[in-house]
Amino acid sequence: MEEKNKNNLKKAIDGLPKYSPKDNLWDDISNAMHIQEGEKALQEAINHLPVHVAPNKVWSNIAANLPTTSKRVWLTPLITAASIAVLICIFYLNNQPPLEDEIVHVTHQELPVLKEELVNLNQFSHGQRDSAFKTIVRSQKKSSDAAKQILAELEEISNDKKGLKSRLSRFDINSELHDKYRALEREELELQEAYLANI
Amino acid sequence: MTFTISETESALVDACLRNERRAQKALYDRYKDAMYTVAYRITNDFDLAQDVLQDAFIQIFRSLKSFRKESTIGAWIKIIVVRTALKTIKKQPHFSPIEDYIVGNANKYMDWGNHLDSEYLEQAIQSLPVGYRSVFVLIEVEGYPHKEVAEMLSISEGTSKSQLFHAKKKLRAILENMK
Repeated sequence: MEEKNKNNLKKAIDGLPKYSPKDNLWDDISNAMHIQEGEKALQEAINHLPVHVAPNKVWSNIAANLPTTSKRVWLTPLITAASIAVLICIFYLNNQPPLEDEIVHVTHQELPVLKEELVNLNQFSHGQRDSAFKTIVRSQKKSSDAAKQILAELEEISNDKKGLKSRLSRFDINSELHDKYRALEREELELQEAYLANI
Repeated sequence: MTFTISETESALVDACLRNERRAQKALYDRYKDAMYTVAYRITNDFDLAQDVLQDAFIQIFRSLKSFRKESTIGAWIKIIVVRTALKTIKKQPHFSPIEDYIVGNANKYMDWGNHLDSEYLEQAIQSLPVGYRSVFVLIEVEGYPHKEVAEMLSISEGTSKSQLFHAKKKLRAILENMK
């Protein structure tokens, strides 16, 4: 049964139709072969064309136009960040107010307290009181005529006190001079209070 | 068509991508003479060829990340050199664009004899007009197909075939006169 099937298949295959190529196919093949033969010499010559050597200076020009190595590539943002930090520091330091200005600023803040406490004279020594008063005077950008007059009188008293103090030695027991000095201090205190009332 | 890039070549390309100067120099050294020769054959001028080589390799290293490793690195480099050379000759004052026309019998058989001297052929190629020379060099010497050459030169494929036929005809005439 199997053998019979094989024979049938073979007969069918043998009976398959046969096709012929177009008549001029050989001419095309022949022509192509002829061209190949004819071009053989050309291809041979092309294969042996000379190779020209590139001048050495070309590489240095190329290298000059290329980015640097990767090591420096990762270093670049680091250097940039450090540079920016330094610039910020310089900018910050340059924009800090001078030290003297800062002191003035702080004393301005303390002004109401000083002015108020200056009235209660018992809490201050003469030195503290004079220092605080001078600070208040310096902080006044504009003064009234009355205030200016008071300041002129205070200047006179200050000079008198200096003159009197130079006459009083540390162990002087001249009570008259001491009384006179204390009187000048009282007068000075009154004028200072008057000044504060006029600003 | 599938190309595989060798491991050595791939490693070299990777090193170039990391901007390693020694790798870049190695890649340049590997292809410099071949590419300089291609540039010279197209431009017909050693100084221009030098400029082409320089510009092309700068472009190659800068755009290397776009190389997909689907072809060999040599083929990729050559196409950039060729395009740079063609761009350069188009900027030359005496350059006249290739006329887009087709002449019949472009496949006509041409006999080059039994032997052709390479040095004579080199001189004859340099004597060709710029359009003929470009087409002949790109197709016959560098092995690009007409379709690709047509695209590179902004002409039709038919014109490319026609130009090649005329280039060969002219070349043969020049070689005849050299004898």
